Amino acid sequence: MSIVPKETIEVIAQSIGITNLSPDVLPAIASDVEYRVREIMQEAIKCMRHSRRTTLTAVDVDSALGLRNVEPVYGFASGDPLRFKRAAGHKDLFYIEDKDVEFKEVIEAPLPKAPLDTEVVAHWLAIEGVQPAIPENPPPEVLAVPSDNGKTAYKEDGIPVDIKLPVKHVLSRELQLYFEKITELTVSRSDSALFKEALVSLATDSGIHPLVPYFTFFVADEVSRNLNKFSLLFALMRLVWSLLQNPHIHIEPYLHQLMPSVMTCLVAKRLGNKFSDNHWDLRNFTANLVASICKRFGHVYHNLQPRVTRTLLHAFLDPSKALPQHYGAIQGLATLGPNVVRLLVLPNLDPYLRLLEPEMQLEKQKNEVKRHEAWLVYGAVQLACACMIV
Amino acid sequence: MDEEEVEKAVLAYLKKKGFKQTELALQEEQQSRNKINSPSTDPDIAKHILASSDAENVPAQYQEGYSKLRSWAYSSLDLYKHELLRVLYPVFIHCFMDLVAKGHIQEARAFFNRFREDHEMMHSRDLQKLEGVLSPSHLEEMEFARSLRQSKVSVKICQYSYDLLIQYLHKTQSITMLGIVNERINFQVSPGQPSSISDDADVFTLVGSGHDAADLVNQKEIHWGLLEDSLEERLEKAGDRITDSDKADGEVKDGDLEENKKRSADGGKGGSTQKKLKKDKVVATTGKASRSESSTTSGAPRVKPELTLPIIPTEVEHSILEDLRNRVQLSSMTLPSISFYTFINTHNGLNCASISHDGSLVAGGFSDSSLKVWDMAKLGQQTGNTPSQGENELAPNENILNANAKGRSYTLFRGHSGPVYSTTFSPYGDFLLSSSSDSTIRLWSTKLNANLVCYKGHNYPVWDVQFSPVGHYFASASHDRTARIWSMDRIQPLRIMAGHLSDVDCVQWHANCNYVATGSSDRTVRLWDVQSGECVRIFIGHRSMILCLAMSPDGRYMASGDEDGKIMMWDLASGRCVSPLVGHSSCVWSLSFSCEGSLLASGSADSTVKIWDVTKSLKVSKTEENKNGKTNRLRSLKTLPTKSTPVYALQFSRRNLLFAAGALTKIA
Repeated sequence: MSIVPKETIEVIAQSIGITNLSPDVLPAIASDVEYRVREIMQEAIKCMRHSRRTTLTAVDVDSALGLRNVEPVYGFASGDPLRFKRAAGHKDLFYIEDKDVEFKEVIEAPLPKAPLDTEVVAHWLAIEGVQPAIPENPPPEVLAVPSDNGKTAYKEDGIPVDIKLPVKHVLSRELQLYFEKITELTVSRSDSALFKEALVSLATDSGIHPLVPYFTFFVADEVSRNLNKFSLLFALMRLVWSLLQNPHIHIEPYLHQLMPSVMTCLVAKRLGNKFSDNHWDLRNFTANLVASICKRFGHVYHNLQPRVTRTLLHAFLDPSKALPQHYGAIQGLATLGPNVVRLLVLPNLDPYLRLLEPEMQLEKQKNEVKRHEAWLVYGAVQLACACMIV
Repeated sequence: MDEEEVEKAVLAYLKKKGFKQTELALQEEQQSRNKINSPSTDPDIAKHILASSDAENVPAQYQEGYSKLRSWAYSSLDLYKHELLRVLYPVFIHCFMDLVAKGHIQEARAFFNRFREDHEMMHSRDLQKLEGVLSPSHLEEMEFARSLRQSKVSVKICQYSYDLLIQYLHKTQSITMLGIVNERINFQVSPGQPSSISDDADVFTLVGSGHDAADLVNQKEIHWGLLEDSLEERLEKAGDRITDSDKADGEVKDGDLEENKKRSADGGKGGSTQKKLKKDKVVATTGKASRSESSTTSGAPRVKPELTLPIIPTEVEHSILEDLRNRVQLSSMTLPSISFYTFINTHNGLNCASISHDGSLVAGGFSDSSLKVWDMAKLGQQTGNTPSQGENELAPNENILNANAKGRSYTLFRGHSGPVYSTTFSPYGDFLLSSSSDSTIRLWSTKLNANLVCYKGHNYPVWDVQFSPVGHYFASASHDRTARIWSMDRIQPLRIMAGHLSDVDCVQWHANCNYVATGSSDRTVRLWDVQSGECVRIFIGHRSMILCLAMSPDGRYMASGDEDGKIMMWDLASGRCVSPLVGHSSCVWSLSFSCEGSLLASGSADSTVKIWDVTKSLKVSKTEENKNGKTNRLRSLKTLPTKSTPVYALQFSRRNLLFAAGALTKIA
């Protein structure tokens, strides 16, 4: 009934030579031992507090014993907290490691260095309330965190403004299930008929707006992690496409999170397996997706299309980029309309073709795949120019 | 129930318990009584006896009774729920203690562990204490348990809740619970609506003297005003003016009074200010008490000192006046600069630190009984980056650094024979007091670098010692549950303040020196009249040991910090908590008010210094007292984290520069 087992008392009694201890005495002593130990520990905690510490040390227990006029426990004097080790195989059994030391070793060992003497150093923790960024102060990142949490902000006139804390987003159980289902389908069964239905649902369902931030995060996360899984990427782009089609959701605030993933699927160096997967299709699809985004939200975000075209042009004009990247860039630019092609592609066409030509010729480019790629790029350029003429 | 049944029950009980003699005696008496035809017995008592006759089931009764009461309370209407829940805790601990007292140790343990979680949040410290009680003798021995069992707990409750409770107890016939409620709880039934949840904190205390006594004590009159004719007061207004105009056009020398007069003439009060200033000059040089009657700037009433105050040397007065004139005005918009003194290589040995009023001296008390004093002005010369401003001309001269032969940067004071728990500098930095586990207090001279006096009086470790704001007198707090007042020239204490129920952990003087506040492990703060030695206020509200106290410079408020990181601001006059300041996550080691009382700085074991807005806190709590929880947030102005350095000491200099000290700890 006490946390000190009777057996312990028995063993201790035997160790000091009392063998004829009656069994009735054991529990009484055990419970009293527990009471005393608790009492001593409470005193020890007081001593710890007055030593301005938050870790209990053997010294504190000694001082507590001293307060009761009890002889201290010898052999544990150390300023540092004791280091307990977990006994192997037990979850809640700890011990203090106590190594055997050879006398000879101790005696022969050179004297350890004298510990450094206590010093006081001064620095500015704050100057008129602002913490200077000096090595003595915590690094600015650490400083920034608490001030972000600081729930008050003072306006110029000194009236405190209560900044609202981040609101916990509550999703209904149904929505959670829906989200889980969709993501699972996207990841694992994107070729099933069910996925098609899911896409239709995404494009039409009016109640899924609360899930938009989760979907954007999901897409961004999956794209960045799975650049070599072609089918997944394609599924993700189709998911984005469906979301964009949905007239009931308000996706603008999340576009900035979505665009990087989409652009990745357009101009990334490798999308899925180079040989087996038809990444050209994905690039075509994504190009259309980008175009539709630009068309739909271009008037809301004036810098959306310029930024997209800048990225694409950058990919297009960089000769060090791989041919599939060029392809994606050209496709993307072409889908953005004849004006873009005229302004951005045509002026660069001449030097580009000069660059592309050797890649397409049998004698100069021995690699079959590379040559094929070059031809595809050539086709894309032709198409782009064709849409100009039409 | 008729009489025969009762008798049968009694007999059965006696048989079971084996009280043969009593049984016989009873039977005899019965027979003789039968002839006289005894009066009828109260059926309730009979029931009670009947119930207790099956002694086997006592523990079960407690367990079941409490558990039913608990589920009833939890499922009651929200309106009354929190009031009814209040009753649970006293019932819980008394059930436990009754079980222990009756010897059902095992069951008591089980009972305790089963329900302790309900009360863990509010009463974890009490539970820790009670957890160790394992035999009836422990109940006798442990002071806490004894005082619980001897006194009744008062619980504030509204009429409806009270009726509900009584009705429930009657209806369910849970005699055990009714017995406990009847025996141990003193209901303060208030008519009308249930009280709001927010004032739960001070609804009851289990400590012996409880609220009634505290209320009684708190009705005594106290004069919290400032001392007449304090230096601050003399210069407060004039000083403010000067600093203002200083800002406007740099230096205003005494010779420029004419110009100053012109400028301040617009202000209206200008003329009187000048007059006052001149007067102050006179006062300062003669050191005579002649105060201009015109103003009490801080709005605090003035009181006469009850102690004979020491005379301040003229040059000291000059330097203080100089400091006051150069004081920076702090407010929520202008936060202080903080100079941090970090102790390095302390090997976990630093127990306390204190900083002199001008920040030029730093003392550290160590667990190896040593006391070390650093002269920061000197360190500054070496390192070139100390922020000491040379505020005080009294800083020790060159010729005293004798102990530094071995290249030590500090002066070592040896004399104590146990860990040093507290140190304090006299207001002018020329004396240093230290208190130690060897139950003595020692007075050291920082000029002579020598021990002057050893004050013996306490019987146990002295946890804290504090110089009075005027010097000469000091107060100490000890494990022997007393606080004592001393003067430097006597080796015996002048007053002994006894009354705390546990260690007195910290002590602090009121700004007018007529009162001393003490914080204790019994989780109360008390205010004592120095002259009479009487306790004049008891502040109840903390839930753990109180570690530090600070008095506002206008004498109206007091702040106290506890082990859980909670700071409470108290109104001395009413004895009530004005506002709890929540934010620290660990022990608050130190508190300090800025000189004009607008800011409160707190230093904690969570390695932060927090700056709190006092004026706003007070205003807010006055206007919307009821919305406690929501307004809390507004009061913390700034959190300044240190680099894994718990903050041991804080000190606002007279110029409102904040000094802080702490020991760098290795992150394990």
